[in-house]
Amino acid sequence: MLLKIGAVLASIPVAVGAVVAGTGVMVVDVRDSDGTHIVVPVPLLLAETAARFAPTKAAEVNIDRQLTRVRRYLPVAEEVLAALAQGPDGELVRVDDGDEHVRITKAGDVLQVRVESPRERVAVNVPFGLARQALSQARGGRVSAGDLVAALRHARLTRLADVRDGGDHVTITVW
Amino acid sequence: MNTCAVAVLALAAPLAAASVPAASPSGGTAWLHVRVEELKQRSRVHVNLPLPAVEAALKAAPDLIASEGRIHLGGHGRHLDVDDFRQVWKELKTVGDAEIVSVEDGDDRVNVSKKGDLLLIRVQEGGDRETVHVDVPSALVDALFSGPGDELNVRAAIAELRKLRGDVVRVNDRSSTVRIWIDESAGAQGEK
Repeated sequence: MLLKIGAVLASIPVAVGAVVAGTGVMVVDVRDSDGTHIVVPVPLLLAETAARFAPTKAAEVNIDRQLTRVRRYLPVAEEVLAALAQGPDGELVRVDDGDEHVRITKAGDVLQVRVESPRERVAVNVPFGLARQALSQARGGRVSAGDLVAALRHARLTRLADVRDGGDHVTITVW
Repeated sequence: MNTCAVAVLALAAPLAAASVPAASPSGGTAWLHVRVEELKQRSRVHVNLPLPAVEAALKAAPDLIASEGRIHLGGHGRHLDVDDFRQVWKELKTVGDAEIVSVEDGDDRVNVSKKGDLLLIRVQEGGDRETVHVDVPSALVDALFSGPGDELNVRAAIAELRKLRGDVVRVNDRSSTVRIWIDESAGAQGEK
């Protein structure tokens, strides 16, 4: 009997682990210059649910207001993004301004943005699917945080951001 | 850059596409490259875009280049009637290789000439202090003016753009250089 109870109890974390592994985990890793190290694993399913129920109305209204002036260009932006996604890999933009450097590169399904200056280094990888979904929603007049988080499921095994600023280091990775 | 040079560049840049070696039979993806360099400021901007992405962006261009039957030259209220421009172009096409416009004002020179299938625009300011070279293939201008009435046929111009390879625009002045060209290499291989 005890064995059965043990098996049932053991199966719960295994099942939860399987669901989390199946739906993805976003890991936020923060290292401060003072030695503090915080790692926050956020199951995407949980993040998506939270984003859907979070009171984001004010933020949506604000985004909608910001988008008003550029909305007419959003279909064009979508088409440009689609053309870039289907095109060959390569360096799209390189800006060198003294000690500051910016690179935007298309690598597979990801748009890599790299910004380097003497003090900070920022690496952001934007999955094309995520960017297109955001543009599509913006064009439709509704940007849903929940849908955007859901789109991260298509960005598994991607380091979304890697930011070094002085002694601070933050990474956001989707597993 | 003086006003005249800016006006010529503003008119030519959207129209232009390439120079000397015309059609490329290669099936590779064409890339539009833009290089802007200011060596004194240690500033360089390199943009490489696959042509399909440029074509998608240019779909928004008709409103910027021309609206209400007028081609807009910069933001100073200067406009040209599309139909007038079409007529001028029609007349120019009947002329063989010739110097069409030549303006000399002290050290400043503007020269527009027709050579073969190219419309060549050359601007010099202060001797060699600043030079603008724009080579516009006739086929591209033909395509652009193939629309009816006061419309520019940007779609036809885009189709023409696909066939072109080589330099589009070169601008040199004392502190900066700008080069726009089309080739089939993704990076800076085509850089000269």
